[in-house]
Amino acid sequence: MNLKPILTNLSSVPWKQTLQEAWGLFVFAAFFAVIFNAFYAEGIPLKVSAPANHHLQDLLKNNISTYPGWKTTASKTTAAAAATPIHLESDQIPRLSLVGAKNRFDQKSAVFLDARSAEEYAQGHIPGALEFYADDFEKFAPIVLPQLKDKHQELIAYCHGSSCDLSIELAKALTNQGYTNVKVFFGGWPEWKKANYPINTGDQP
Amino acid sequence: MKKSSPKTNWVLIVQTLLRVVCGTLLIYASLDKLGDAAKFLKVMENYHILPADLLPLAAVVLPWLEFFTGLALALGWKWRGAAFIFCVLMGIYTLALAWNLTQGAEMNCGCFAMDKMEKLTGWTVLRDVAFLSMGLIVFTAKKTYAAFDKN
Repeated sequence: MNLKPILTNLSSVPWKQTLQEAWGLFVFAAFFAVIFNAFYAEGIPLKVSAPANHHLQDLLKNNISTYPGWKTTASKTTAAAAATPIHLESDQIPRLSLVGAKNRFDQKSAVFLDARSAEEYAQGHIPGALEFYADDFEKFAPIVLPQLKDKHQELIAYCHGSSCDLSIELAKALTNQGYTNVKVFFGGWPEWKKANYPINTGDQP
Repeated sequence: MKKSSPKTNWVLIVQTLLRVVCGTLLIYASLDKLGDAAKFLKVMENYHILPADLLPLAAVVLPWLEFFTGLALALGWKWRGAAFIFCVLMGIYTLALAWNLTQGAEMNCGCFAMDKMEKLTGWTVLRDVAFLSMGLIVFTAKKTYAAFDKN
């Protein structure tokens, strides 16, 4: 196939007309999408990323003032909290593959945090992982956080796989508290178990 | 229709076919996301590319942008502008996928069907590079056949 007639045509592209067309399409699609979303029953609020941060909002509504690391602009009132975007210090939580998690497990270089419920933790967890149910941050923070070396300690949160948000919520909450080296093992418990890596059962790490 | 030369003609036919393929592909990719912005928002959040404040707007606009761009490409209406958007989208998707792959991310691609767990691999990135190449071939066409546009 002779590619020359295709690839040398870039200079003969009518750029002005093309960009006008592209911009027109973009504006039309954006306008249509926003209108559709406004009237669609399952539309989402555009101002706040509510589904992603709902747990964080719950925490803020409960006014956890004992932790000085919170860097948010949320108000104490429910209505205001729902309408105020939460500023996360870092929305870029690094994620680890199974290999990355296992390497750190072998080197004992990181602390694993199990973000699942107590029952799931007792049924089986990564050896050494601390129980830290993300939906009960208030209960576990005073127990787990003092056990950590410092705020630069490498922390790896996990839950039951890619369908679950608990590890991300926990990682975000910890990052917001000033922990600088928080990662998420995204494959989580199902992958660890499937790989036949060591596990512990019971309520002790 | 006046033929210029058999070779050029053949290239234009391939470019026209690719235009329809790219358009159909984009429409297909948008369908699962159109009615479920909340789920698409979660998929996009996992990519860690956009700031949290921009995510909902992107989750609402992107599927419809894909849909209308795909429609324009398939029908040949403002096809070159649509091909430009197609290339920009594929370029962004490729970079986003490649970046997440280097981070050791194990996540749902969310490229086509959002519920179908499609793990991110090197092949996913290569596939998007192939789509981008197809888009570039369409974009640089001198003209196209079977289109709403006259050019």
